[in-house]
Amino acid sequence: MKPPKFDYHAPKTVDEALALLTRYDGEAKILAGGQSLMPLLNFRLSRPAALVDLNRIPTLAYIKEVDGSVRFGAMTRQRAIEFSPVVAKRLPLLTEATRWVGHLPIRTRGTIGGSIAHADPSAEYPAVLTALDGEVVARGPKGERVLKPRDFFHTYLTTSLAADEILTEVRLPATPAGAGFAFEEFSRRHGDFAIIGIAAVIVREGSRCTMARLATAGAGPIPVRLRAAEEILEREGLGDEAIARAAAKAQELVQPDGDIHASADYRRHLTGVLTGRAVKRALTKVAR
Amino acid sequence: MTNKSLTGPNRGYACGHLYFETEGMMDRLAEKLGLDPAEVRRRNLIPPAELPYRTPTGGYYDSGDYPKTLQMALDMARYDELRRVQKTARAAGKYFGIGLALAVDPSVSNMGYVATALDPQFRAKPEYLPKSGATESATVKVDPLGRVIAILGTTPQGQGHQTIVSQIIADELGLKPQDITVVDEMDTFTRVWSISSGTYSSRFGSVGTSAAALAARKLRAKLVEYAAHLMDVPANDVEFNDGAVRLKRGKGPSYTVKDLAGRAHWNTESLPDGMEPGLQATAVFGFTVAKAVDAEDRVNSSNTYGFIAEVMAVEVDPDTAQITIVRYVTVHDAGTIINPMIVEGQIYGGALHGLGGALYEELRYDDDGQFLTGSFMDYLVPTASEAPTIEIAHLSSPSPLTTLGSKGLGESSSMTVPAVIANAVSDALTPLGVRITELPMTPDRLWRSIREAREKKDS
Repeated sequence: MKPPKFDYHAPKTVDEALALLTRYDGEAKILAGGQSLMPLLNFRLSRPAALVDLNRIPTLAYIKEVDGSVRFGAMTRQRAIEFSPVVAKRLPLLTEATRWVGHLPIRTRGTIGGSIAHADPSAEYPAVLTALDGEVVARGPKGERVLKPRDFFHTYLTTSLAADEILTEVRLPATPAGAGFAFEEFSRRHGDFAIIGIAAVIVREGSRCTMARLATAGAGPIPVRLRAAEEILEREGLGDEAIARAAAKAQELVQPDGDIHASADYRRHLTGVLTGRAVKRALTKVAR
Repeated sequence: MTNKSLTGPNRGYACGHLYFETEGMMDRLAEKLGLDPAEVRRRNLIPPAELPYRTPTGGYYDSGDYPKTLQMALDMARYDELRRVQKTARAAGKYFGIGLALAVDPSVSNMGYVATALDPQFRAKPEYLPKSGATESATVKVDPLGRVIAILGTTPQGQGHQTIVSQIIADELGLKPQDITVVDEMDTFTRVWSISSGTYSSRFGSVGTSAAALAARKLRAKLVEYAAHLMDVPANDVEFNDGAVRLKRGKGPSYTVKDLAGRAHWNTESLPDGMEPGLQATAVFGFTVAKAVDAEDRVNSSNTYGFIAEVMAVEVDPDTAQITIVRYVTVHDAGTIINPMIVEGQIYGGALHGLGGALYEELRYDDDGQFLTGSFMDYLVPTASEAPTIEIAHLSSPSPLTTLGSKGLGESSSMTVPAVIANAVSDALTPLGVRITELPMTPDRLWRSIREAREKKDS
């Protein structure tokens, strides 16, 4: 199908974009890479009065290191992140997760801000944001808000962003040097949304696990930080038994919904399996 | 009453279901007899000396070497080595399986089979009109400019009729394929057509090509006769070669197709007495083996019968139910192959189509009958990323029934892939006692079977 009729605006600055959002009073949608919004429009599942296209705002695309964290302009393309040396060094988990995002043509258009603002719980970037406990910056007419994942993701495709706000930046704390990381995912076909994905970061000192970060994709209405499973690793170390216990705990922590591609039971089971695999593979990458 | 979708013919019309069952039965038989699945099949194949072979239900298998086709597939897949790999993998706790699937690949349905829907008593009544036949037509003409044009009565959807017909006509007339213009459109007012006309049932490679070649031969005979008349020699003394008619022996003039076209169209007086003016020929090819259903419900439901032998090796991850195709070999005997590249494309497409049915494609409804898979976001089909490496080989047992010895191959592996992958997965999961009895094998379904089998084993 073709999308329903809409007004189209391509502002050159964030302020112009914000003014447009205010003008349309909740009836406008923001267009970033368009990899989710355009299909929704074509299916006529979304019928906004106007699109505010952020692609002509050059200041929204950047990757920079600030005080131990990496900041991404919302319009930074996934393909740029995939090949960024800064990301490879500071956030190797994100580099790996990016390879799971759709297909190459999708990544050349798709953006980090778009993926996170769209809040599809089976997408990779919301899981990484949750695992690393990063922040998003929302700018509105009254100024900026900085939000943590737990305050940002509400439910399927729903966030705390107000209709007159734009997600302008994503901040992810750099992973400590020598940390292990892995993104494990199971999908029906290459490039499909995850049935289950697990983001994992492990910091080991001697035989101890000093930091574990685990989060899900696809296991419920929002990405789930698996804190109780992380605690098992931080308490009991990184032996096979501890990992198995953490994986079993992960399975208990999620309440996935079933759909035509996977039942809730199967998703819960996969959460455990992939948590175990993610931790084990992350361990192989810990610097000795 | 239902609001669920109706069913209809798809590629490999009903054969995918049939071979899924029959090839699954062969494996159960092998298991029961303690024989290798390859051996059970080998022992039960129709030997080449018995072809053409009349089946109990009336089928007439025109040509083939089934044991050799199977052997080629086994050799290509290095079957014995795969079995050794499997042994090692099993010892290491892995689920590695090898599947086989053999299939007769029928093409060109005989209109006679539709009458099997009526009972024999009804068909015995005097007012009943029997049905039979499988025909296709083609016209080849040379216009006054010397352009060679073939006119078909079929509308392909990418099967390459223009390509192969230009090849065939060029071969018959000693021209180059690019010299031939092929019109592949259908209009019942302007085309020669009949009951069975059309592009379906893998027809064109068998019946369509036969009509095209026959039309070209008829036209060639006319060109030869005309040129001999111009040279004032008997037609036996000249031959058609490299797009021109020449004396077989000795020196003399030669006449190209273009030259003959100009003369014949501009000067009808130059034609021999009794020759019809114009340079065109229409051929309607029909199979004599396409007979009506008999009193015992026996019918030769198709006309040419190819053969397929496939081997697939898979590894199944028992924890995620992920199936990984490790090796896939497919050997086809479609008689004379007219265009290897098109044949390869058909096999790739057929195999992926079969993979779709085996792993992905399904019309799903919720409990209220609401359709859930109404777009390609939800109705999954395999993409290039899901395509395994496909190793293809051919054997050629020309059909004695077609002009060029060719048979259809358009549906090909869409029939065998559901069987071969289900057998491979069942073989992989033998240690758990899981046998695939339902398609598509979605990861969720497969995981459930594995879980139930493990629970049963533990209890």
